[in-house]
Amino acid sequence: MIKRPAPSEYPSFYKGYVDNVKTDNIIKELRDQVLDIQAIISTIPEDKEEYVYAPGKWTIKEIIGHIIDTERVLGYRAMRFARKDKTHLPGYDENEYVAKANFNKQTLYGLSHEFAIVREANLALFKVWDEEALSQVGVANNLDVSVRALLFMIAGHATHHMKVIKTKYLNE
Amino acid sequence: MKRPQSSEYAAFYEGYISLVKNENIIKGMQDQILDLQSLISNVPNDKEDHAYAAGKWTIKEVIGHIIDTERIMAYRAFRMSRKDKTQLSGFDENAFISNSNFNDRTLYDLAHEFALVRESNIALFKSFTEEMINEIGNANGKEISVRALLYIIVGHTIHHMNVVREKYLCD
Repeated sequence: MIKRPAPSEYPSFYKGYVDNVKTDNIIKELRDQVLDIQAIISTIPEDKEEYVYAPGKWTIKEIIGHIIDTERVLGYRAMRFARKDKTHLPGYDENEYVAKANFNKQTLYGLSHEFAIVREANLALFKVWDEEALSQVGVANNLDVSVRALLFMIAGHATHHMKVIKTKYLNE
Repeated sequence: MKRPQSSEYAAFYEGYISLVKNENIIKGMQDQILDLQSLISNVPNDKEDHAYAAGKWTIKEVIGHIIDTERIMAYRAFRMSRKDKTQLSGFDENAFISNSNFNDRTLYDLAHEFALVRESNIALFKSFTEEMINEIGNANGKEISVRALLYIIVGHTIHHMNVVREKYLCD
């Protein structure tokens, strides 16, 4: 069983995301989330797909796109660090990435499918890691972070944005 | 999609790109999932952990290296397609293999991982506009286009599948 990351394993900025994960079994959490997110997406009415609750906010399609972008970036960091790669990895500008993508031209089904397959591709990698790989620490965006913490951040970040969709877009 | 011009990639990659015969690179990527699974299905049990010479990778490690390279190249294409001009670092392919555990896994599991990684990349690449495909970024100190990266992903896989056929399954 994978241990929860200690606060020393990630920048304090990420604490909210890590705390969103209520289980220690992060692999199961990452798997269950595929179904959870698809379930939420299935409740989104057609007229809300490109709705924004305030000017300048992302649409629901863009939020799903941002979840996928972040999964690609954090999954990549985890892969390199698990292989004991000490290269300092760059951050990314999440707003620019959404602005330069074309998520609103895609279907919500297509984005939901892409999320699931990106998550599965990452799980295929994460599930084989041993304690040594999970405990590796690397530098991303100038800050130290462990592989274990990255896995919790991936899940907790997706949970955060799905909560925003529920509260701000679907008024649940 | 047009083929990349030789000005769109470092000369080092010419060998990989010239192996790609497909007019439609997305279809080439889809077909290759089946090609690789077909090749793997022909690997006898006793060859899975076999290396044809001292210090060479096993077939499992070759498949692992194909997956590693796909993850790296696709990540570059992803960032560059968003007009990100950050200089991206290279990777030490041998250290990546020696710091992984491909030989402890089944060939089936590795074939499955290859398919998932490829599918996840196709989901991204097929959404690319012509403008995104034309973007140029910098990786490992060299300029490269998104289009060239897609061709390199396919050509690099063909190269290693050819090596498996010629050096590992030749008897």
